[in-house]
This record gives sequence, structure tokens and C-alpha cells, in this order.
Amino acid sequence: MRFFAIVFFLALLVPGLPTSAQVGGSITDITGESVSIVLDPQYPNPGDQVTATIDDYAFNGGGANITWFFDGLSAPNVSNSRTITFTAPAVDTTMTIIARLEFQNGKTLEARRVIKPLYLDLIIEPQTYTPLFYKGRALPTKGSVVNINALLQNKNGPVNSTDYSYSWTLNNKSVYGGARIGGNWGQIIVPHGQSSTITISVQDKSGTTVARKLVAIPTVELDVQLYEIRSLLGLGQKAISGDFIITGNSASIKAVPYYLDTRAVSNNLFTEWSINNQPIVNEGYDPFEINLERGTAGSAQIGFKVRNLSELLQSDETSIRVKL
Amino acid sequence: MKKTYIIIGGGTAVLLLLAIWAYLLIYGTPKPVENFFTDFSFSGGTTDESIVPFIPVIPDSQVDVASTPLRQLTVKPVIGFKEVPSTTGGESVMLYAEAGTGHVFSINLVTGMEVRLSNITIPNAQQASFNTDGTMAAIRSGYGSQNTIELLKLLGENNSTQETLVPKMVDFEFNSGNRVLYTEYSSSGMLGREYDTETGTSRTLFTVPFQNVSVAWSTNTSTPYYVYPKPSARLTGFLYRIVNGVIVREQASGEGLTALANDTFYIHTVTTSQGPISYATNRVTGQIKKLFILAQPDKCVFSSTDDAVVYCGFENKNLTYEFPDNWYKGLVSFSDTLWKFDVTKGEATKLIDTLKETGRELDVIGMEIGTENKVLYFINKNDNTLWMYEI
Repeated sequence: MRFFAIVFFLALLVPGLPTSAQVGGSITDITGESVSIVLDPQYPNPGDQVTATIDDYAFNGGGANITWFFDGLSAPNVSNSRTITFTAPAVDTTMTIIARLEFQNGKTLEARRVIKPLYLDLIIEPQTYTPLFYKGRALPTKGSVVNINALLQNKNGPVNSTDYSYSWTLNNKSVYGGARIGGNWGQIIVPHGQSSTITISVQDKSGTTVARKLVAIPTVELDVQLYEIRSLLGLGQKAISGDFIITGNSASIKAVPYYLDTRAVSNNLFTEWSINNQPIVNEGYDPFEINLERGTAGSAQIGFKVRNLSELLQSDETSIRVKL
Repeated sequence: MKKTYIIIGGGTAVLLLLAIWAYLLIYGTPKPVENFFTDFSFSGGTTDESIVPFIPVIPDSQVDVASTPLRQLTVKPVIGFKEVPSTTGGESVMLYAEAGTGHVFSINLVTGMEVRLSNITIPNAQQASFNTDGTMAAIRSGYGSQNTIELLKLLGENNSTQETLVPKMVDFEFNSGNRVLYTEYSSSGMLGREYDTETGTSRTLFTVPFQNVSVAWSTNTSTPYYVYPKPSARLTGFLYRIVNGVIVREQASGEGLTALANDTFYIHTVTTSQGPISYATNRVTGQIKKLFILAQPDKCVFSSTDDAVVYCGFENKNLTYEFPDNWYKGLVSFSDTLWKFDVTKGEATKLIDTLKETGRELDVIGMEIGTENKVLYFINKNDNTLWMYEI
């Protein structure tokens, strides 16, 4: 009995073997000291410039010789650097980064990090209005709908989304209640504020996070521009700014409300044309068009206002001077 | 007394001779006699010939194609054009579709003679694409969501047929044959498809899992298609290459991303805090170079004989962070200089300052290169007129 007790107490004094995680990369020794590698960005895209920093917060690692290894090869010119910069490998290519600390007392600690960059693209598609000739992408206004497509890609292209689970947050609040398998498509209503922050994390079937991306979605104001409609040529593509000169007997002008919520385009809209700040009744079938008949001389201020009655912050007005 | 008369007579004769000499000196030698003396019609007479000043007559149907390297081909606004080389050894012609009417015209690039090939009116014609041999044109009618695509078959002067294509095409362009490449919305994104004008059938070329798509079409079999989200300076775009019908990510990304490509290179432009910047990537070596000029796909075209050479319209202008959005809206325009840029050597050659040459602001769009790589064609975005420049 005494023999077993002695063996038991002696066993308590034996140092614990160091353990390591394949991803996460921290090494802990029996005394509780640990060192890890922190990456910025944490989940880099292929080809990104990445900063790796030794995190030895639990103990003072100063005075140790530091050697960095990339896939087993020591990195020149970065010896004893606590922070280094390197280029992430190509898509779907694994890279192992090791930081080895050799202390003067002969002790050695290693931190390891394995990265395998994948592309995680967030395609932002605001559901707001732009005209057919406009080659650009619509932008989100307050209260409008934004579709977001999270495209995770390896070297062969987009992955099968059902092999992964996706966790969404909007301004740090979870959307959809948590991770969803195959949930790579999301839709949000743009909240009030200058921008919204969307974060998405992607985990594989083992629960390991393979990619994470944060993107700020800007919020813009509704932008009304005026364009001439020519009876033969149709809608002009040069916005009217400043003075507009009527050369014929009449002219037609169309107001194009860039970034108006598409849900409001066909209903729940307030529109108003004015001449010299006096509202007029527009008898045309299109509330966004006005026909101007030529007078004898002079000029007039033509104005247009639009407001989404479902989202009062979606509004804009503009005016031009019309001359003969 | 006699002597006095002789002196007077002689002096008078001298004075008369002097007067005649002075007259001839001032008015010149007289015309033929019959022009001066009255014809009493004893032998039929002569009639005065009226003198008609020569005024050269310039036909309305002739375009000046020969005067300067940079010249305007049309006064009419144009929505699409195509240089069609002759297959019988004759002169090349330029086909174009008139904005608003959709009428199709042909300009002989040697003689300048212009003829109308199609008088079929396509209401509110907005966009046109021609096939390679100039026998067909696809024209968008209407500028709203209810627009249609009309296919014209050009059979000769004022002789053409029209049919409305069934597919709802978002973007379209003829390929090197008689097929129309186009995009079409699907429930999960966008489809890239090909319409066979002979059979009237379509097949899917690729799928894109989002809807706001810009396509860099390729009209030859060796250059892949590229797609990217429609650009905005406020949103990030990503460049994808089509491989076996699916998108594969290229490294290029950034706000306001646009791109053009050929077999060897792709050039992408992104908006940064310093304004828009263009980069050329060699797809074979992976080398990336920053360009001196701004290479927007609407304003540039690759050389047909040298993969490393690109021609662009570019104005060195202080652009804001809102480019290209404000340009697409028509709030900003350019007065371009034409440049030739070698992406391998990093050399830029200024070809012509269009403002100095013409006194007009030419905002280059839709640039194409002639079949013999000797001519650039483009539309002036400010008034949609068609122009050419001999390289």
C-alpha cells in the first residue's frame, strides 16, 4: 500500500506531455505556459498578405530565439521576429506555419498553424431600382431588401453548399437563429445607419471553421436624376444637370429614381412635379414623366419629388431650370 | 499753217495711242470679235452663252472616309456597328443600326457611299449587335422591362425580314457565327445561353449563382468567358472565369470591379481611395502589372494580332470615388485621348488627342478593332455618333 502511494505521488511530479491542436496552433506545457500564432486576417483569401504574430500572453517569451517555418522550411530574414508577413498560398493549398521558441535554458516551445485558403465571396445584391441602360449595380437604401449570396469556392469552383453550414450575423446579432446547413443565401432589411456589418462563418461537417468573412454594406440615399425622352430615340442616357433648353415645340423629361425600393415602384409612392415651386397635376399615365409645351419666352424651374410611403427615409427631390 | 496741222494731228495720234495702251494695260486684251460686235443675224447669228459657275455637288449618301486619320462616320446616333470585310475582294463596309429607328445602313469604307439595308422600324431601338458577315442584326426595342429583342435578316438594300426572339435576353451579343450569346434570369441566378438563329433553339453555356451579372463575352473559342457582379464603387466585385459551365474564381477583386480579357491577359479595374486603377494579369505566368492608363472594358479593345497590346480611350482626369457609377448615370463624361498600351513592356503610346484634333469632346465607348488591325472604331457616348481612327 505504501509502495503504491509513493508511486502515485511521484507520478504527480512528472511533467505533462505537450499537446497541440492541428488547427488553432497553441502549445501548452506542463507548467501552463502556452504560445500560439494569431493570423490577420484570420481566414485569408488565396494570395492575401497575412500577418502572423506570436501570442505568448501566458508567459514572458522574451529572450527566446524565434525561428519560423513554412511547410517545414525555415524562413530566411525573419529570425527572432515576433510578427512576420507572408503571402497566403493558392486556393485549396495547405500551408503549415510553425513558430519555434528556443529558450536559453534549453526549453523549446512550438506553435503551429495550418491554413488552407478558400474563397468566400459575399455577393451583395440590393433589391432597388436602376434603369435598363444602367450598367452598374444597385445600392441599398434604408429599409430596402438586400440579397446576399455567400459563395465558398475551392480550386474547382463553388462547393456544394449542403456540405457546409453557414452562420450569419447582422451588426453582431445572429440572423436565422444560428448555423444552417446549406444556408449560403441570406436576405436582410437594411437597418437605419450609415452601414450594416454582415459576418458569415462557414463550418465543414466536422464543425471546423473553414472560412469567415465580414463585409460592411453601405447605405445610400435615394438619388433622382432627370433624363430627356426623345420621341424617336427614347430615353436619353445623359443626366440633365443645370439648364435644359427646349429646342422644339415640346419636350419630355423622365425622373429616374435610382435605388428606390423595388417593392415600392408600383405602389405606395408619392410623386410630385412642380413648376416654379408650384405643384402641378401630371395627367400623363407615367407619374415619372412630364411633358413640357413650349411657351413664348423665358425660363422656369421644374422640380420633382418622390417618397416611398412605406419607408419615409427613402425620398429625394431634384430640380432643373428649363429655358427656351 | 500746214506745219501746225501736222503737229496737232501727230500729237492727237500719239495721245490716242497712249490712251489705247493705257486701256489695254488696265482691262487686258479684247476677247474674240464676235463677243463684242452686234450680231445682226445675217447668217443665223450667235447667241450669248450663259456662264454657269461650277459648284461641286456632294451627294447626301456619301461619307467622308478619306480625309484624316480620325473621322466621323455618322451624324445619326448609332446603337451598334460592325465592320464587314469583303469576301469577294471588294471593299469592306461598315454596318450600323440607327438609334431610335433601328434602321440599318451600310457605309463603303473606301468610297464612302452609304446605303440603307433595312427600313424596318424597330421602335425605341436601344442596342444592336451584328453577326460577323453582316447578314443579321439583333436589336433591342424599348427601354423598359417590357423590351423585346428583334432579329433582322439583311437580304439586300431595303430588303430585310424581322422576327421577335422568344427568350427574354438581359444582355446579348452575336458570337463569331450566327448564334446570339445572351444572359437570362433564372430562379437561382443567371444563365449564359446561346441562341441558334437557324433552328430557333437555345442551349445553356454556363450558370451564375447571382443575378446582377456583367459578362465579358468571347467571340472566339480560345478565350474563355468572364463574369463579375455589376460594378459599383461602393460594393466589392469578384472576377470569375467560366470553366466547364461553372464559375471559377480569379484572384482579381475590389470595389467597382470591371474586366476585359483575351487568350493571355485579363485587365481589371477597381476603384480605390486614389481613384480607379487598372491591372493586367498574365493568365499563363500569373504576373500582375499596374497600368498607367485607365482601361475600362467599354473604352478598350485588345489588338487582334498581339495579345499584349490594348487600345483605349482615356482622359487623365481626377476621378472621384463614385466612378464608374456616376459615368454610367451620365453625370460625368470624358474627352478621351486614344492610347496604345503594351501590358508586357509597360509602354504607353499616345495615338491622338481627339479634343485637339476635332474640337469636340469624344467619350469613347464600344471600341472595336478592324479586321486587319489597322483601324479603331468607337461610338461617342456624348451623342452616339460613330467614329473611326486609322492606327
